[in-house]
Amino acid sequence: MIEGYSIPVTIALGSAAVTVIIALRYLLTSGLFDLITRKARPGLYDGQGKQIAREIRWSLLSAGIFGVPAAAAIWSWRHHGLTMLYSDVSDYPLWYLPVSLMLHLLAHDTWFYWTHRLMHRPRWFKLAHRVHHDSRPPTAWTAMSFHPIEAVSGAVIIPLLMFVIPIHVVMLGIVLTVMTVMGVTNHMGWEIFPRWVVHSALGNWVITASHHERHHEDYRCNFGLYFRIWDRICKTDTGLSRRIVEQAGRAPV
Amino acid sequence: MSRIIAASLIAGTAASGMAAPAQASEVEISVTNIRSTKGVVRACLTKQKQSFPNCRKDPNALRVVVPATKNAKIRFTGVAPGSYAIALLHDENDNGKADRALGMMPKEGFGFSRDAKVRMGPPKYKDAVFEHGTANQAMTIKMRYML
Repeated sequence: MIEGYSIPVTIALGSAAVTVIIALRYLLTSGLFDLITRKARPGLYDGQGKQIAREIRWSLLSAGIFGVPAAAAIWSWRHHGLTMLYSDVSDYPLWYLPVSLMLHLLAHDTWFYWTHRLMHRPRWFKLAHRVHHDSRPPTAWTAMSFHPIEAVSGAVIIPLLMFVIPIHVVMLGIVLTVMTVMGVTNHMGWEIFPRWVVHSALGNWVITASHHERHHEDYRCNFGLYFRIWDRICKTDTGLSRRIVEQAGRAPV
Repeated sequence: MSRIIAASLIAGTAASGMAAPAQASEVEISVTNIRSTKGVVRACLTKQKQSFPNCRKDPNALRVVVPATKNAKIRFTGVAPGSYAIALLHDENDNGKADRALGMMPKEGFGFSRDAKVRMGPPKYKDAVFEHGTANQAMTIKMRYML
């Protein structure tokens, strides 16, 4: 606890601090990939200035919501030793480091797939998820562009997983980096990964822009976050985006 | 009431401080879990909350450096009765500081009295503080490595 403040005040101050960090992370990452896009695909975002401004506004609002559960989890770790976060690399065997990363990504992916399916129920779509799909086509600024109601479902999962799946702080940092980078690149409107990754055994199971763009084209398919596992199990996987594959001048798979 | 207790505690500490030379004794630390015999283990002991864990700006801090060995022992002598906290650094490249990756994560081992844990940043003084009386005292501190 910050000396001399009550618990709610401490968490409020913490939330504000984490919100600023999340907002900066968003602006820096999306800004970087926006620049890369303007170099690699000149003109791709032409005429999307208004949309991007709107995406930034929704995203900054989402940052405020993401900050609250994150700050609460950090606070309970720091001051009460709660959560399963560990910092001594010998607390668990070394092989557990990559395993914990995979467990976190799979759990997050599962949460996302099913909440995302829910968000496409007409009631929830009109209430919240519509905001995210107003980005047509998505850009490097779309990843965090959510209605506050949907932002809540995105905000609680990693703090919650911190209490369930043991993970080393550095691996959690990698989870957050993967989440941030994949979130931005999957919405960027072009494929940054080489063909041999996208059109490979790995690409059949891992989601990149070619796959997620299809969700923004057709809506009721390709709901996954990192992996195509749930989409394949539930037969909601319809393959890769027409626009992106066309741009790349390659036959769809 | 609490103010009176605090005042008498301060008076008591001051008094024992004055009598220190007669009552000073040893704190001996057995270091466990050292991962290599590279470099040295730097230890420092302070009673100043704001100087923990690196003992900077504490003219009265006690410092000991020993070679990193499997069962390293560190001995602080002339420790007057009072409250203290100890921080250890396994300075593997012996450059006198805790090296960090990306400017954040310590690459070298650390350990604290009461085996206080590192979470976001080093532990607070209150989590590592222990009482030292007039008798010699022994304790173990486990080294931890983040990376």
